[in-house]
This record gives sequence, structure tokens and C-alpha cells, in this order.
Amino acid sequence: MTETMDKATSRRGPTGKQTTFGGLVLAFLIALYTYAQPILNERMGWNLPAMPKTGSTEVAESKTATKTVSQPKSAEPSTKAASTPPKTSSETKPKPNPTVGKQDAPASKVKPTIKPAPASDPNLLYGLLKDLGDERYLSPAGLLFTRGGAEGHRLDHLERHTADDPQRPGKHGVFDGGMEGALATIDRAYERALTGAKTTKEVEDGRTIYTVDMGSRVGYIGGGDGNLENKPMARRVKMVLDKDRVITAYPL
Amino acid sequence: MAMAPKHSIDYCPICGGGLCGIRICGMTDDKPHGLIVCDECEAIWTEPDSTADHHYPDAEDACCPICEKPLWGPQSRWATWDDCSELGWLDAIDPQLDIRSDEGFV
Repeated sequence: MTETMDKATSRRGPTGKQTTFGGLVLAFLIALYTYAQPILNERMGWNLPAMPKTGSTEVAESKTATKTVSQPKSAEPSTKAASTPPKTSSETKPKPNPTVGKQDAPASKVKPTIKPAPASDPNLLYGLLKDLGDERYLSPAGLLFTRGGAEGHRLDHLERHTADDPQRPGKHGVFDGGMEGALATIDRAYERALTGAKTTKEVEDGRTIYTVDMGSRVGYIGGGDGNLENKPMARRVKMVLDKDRVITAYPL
Repeated sequence: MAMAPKHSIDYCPICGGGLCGIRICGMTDDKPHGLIVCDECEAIWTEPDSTADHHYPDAEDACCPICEKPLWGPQSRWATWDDCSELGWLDAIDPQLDIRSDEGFV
């Protein structure tokens, strides 16, 4: 019996130590990768895959992050339904692009750094914009979204920058987080622009064009060129304003 | 794709992100005229040359600088190939900037 145990111990001994050492090295490498992956994605604009998560809490978080990026129409908060943005287009509305959802897939690999504004006040459009009447909406930072543009309303134009348009020539900036994320990012960019932090400003004939470096990912570059480059991340925001009225805003 | 220009002459030199699309206006009164309009910042040129002087329309009530009718009204649209031909602006088109699946051209 004792001899048998000794043999078993001697068999397990060296092999067990190797297994333990190898396991420690593997665990260390996994931990290192898990720690470095989001940082490298953030700073280098890579799309390194995240380690598969275990545990119900983490899975739930992962699903939430994916929803935040993709923003399917059915998942939009009730605040939009409570106060539907104006549709005053004078031209024919484009048909929904069936490739939009699929084209967003690569971007969903990277957890967005923006946090859409909580839809706490049902009276605010997209949880952020105060309705001033006459189709005018005011953001917390003081930006106005009014009628205008080919789509009929600036918010409808902004919506174009919440989904990719792969057929568009050149680059097409796409905000993370749907309309809520876009509006929150634009407001932060405007606040930063007013302080002059990491901002270039051009003023001409009543129009002000801000290019604001947000310091971290705010979206990605889609369009024809962006798709050729595997949709690189965007960390800057371009805003074209007429005084405090938004003409357009998009990531670049 | 109705909101994007069918044919463009350049990327916008003002905002950098828009397309300088060719637009035809005045279709309802038999006085068609062409415009170049950036589909992002709405800078307008009255000739197919984005280095020429440009205008900005009113932010909420944009009008054509030539006929002063609504820039996005029913008498105006993004120009088709035939429209560009009628305007005599075919040579200004940059085919690399054409939206795909246009009216057979490309």
C-alpha cells in the first residue's frame, strides 16, 4: 500500500510541478492579455479580440456593450417614442440599408468608451434634448438642433452618422452608441471646444468649424474608404455650427 | 441614398467630410441651373469649381443663391447623369465619387 502510494506520488511529483508552473505562466499571460487588450485597442486603434468571459454577470455586461454599439431600432429607449424627432424631409427618404446592422459588427468588438446619457427624463428627446417647440431642440451644453438640411431636420442628418454607409465614397464617420451616444459625444465635444482644449477652430462667414480631439474612441470611420481599412476607430469630432445651431457633426 | 449626391466634383475643401455634389435647381420653371452643394456643411458654389467663392445658406431656411427658391425644395434635386449633361457639367464629375448603383452609369 505504502509502496503504491510512493509510486503514485513519484509519478505525480515532477509532472505535477511542471503542470502547475505551466499553468501559472499561462494564467499570467492570460491576465496580461486581458489587461492589455482594451488598452492596446484604445491607444493603437486595433481590434484585438477580447478574452471570452465567464459568469452570468460578465456575459450580461458584454451583451449590454454590444447593444450600446449596434443600437437596433427596437432597442431604442422609450424617450424617442415619447417625443419622436421631426421628419420634415422635402426629399424622398432613403430606404433602410439592409447592410447597416451587419456592417456595424466589427465596431462592436471594441467596447465603446462613451456612455450614452441615461434616459431618466422622458420629457427629453433621446434623454438629452429639451424640446423648445417649433422643432427646435436644445442640448445641455447649449447646442441647438433645428430644421434644415436635405433631410429636413438636423437630427435626421445626424442619424446618418449613427450607422455605416459602405456605399458612400470616401469616409463616413459613425458615432458609437446610436443617437443617444452621438448626442452625448457632440455635447462633450462642444464643451471641450469652448474651453479650447485639443481643439482647432475655423470661423468663416458665420460658420464655425471645430475639430476636437476627444482623447479616446468616439466611433469609427466607415464609408468606402473606412471599410477598406477595416473601419479604424475615430477619436476626433468635427462640428460645423452656425452660431450655436448644429449644421453637422461626425467622428473622424 | 437619396440624401447623398449622385455625382460629385470633389471632397469638400471646407469641412473635409462632405461631398461637393452636383445639384440641379429651377426644374419647375424651365430655367434649370446647377449648383455644387456640400452634403455635410452645405457650402454652395454656383460653378463646378470648389476653389471658387462659396456661399453658406441660411441654416434653417436654405435657399438657392441663384433663384432664391428653397435649396431642398421640389424644384431641386441631386443631379442625375442626364441633368449634368443638360447643365454642361459632365467634365466636372469625378467618377470616383459617384454613389454606386446609380442610373446605369459608372
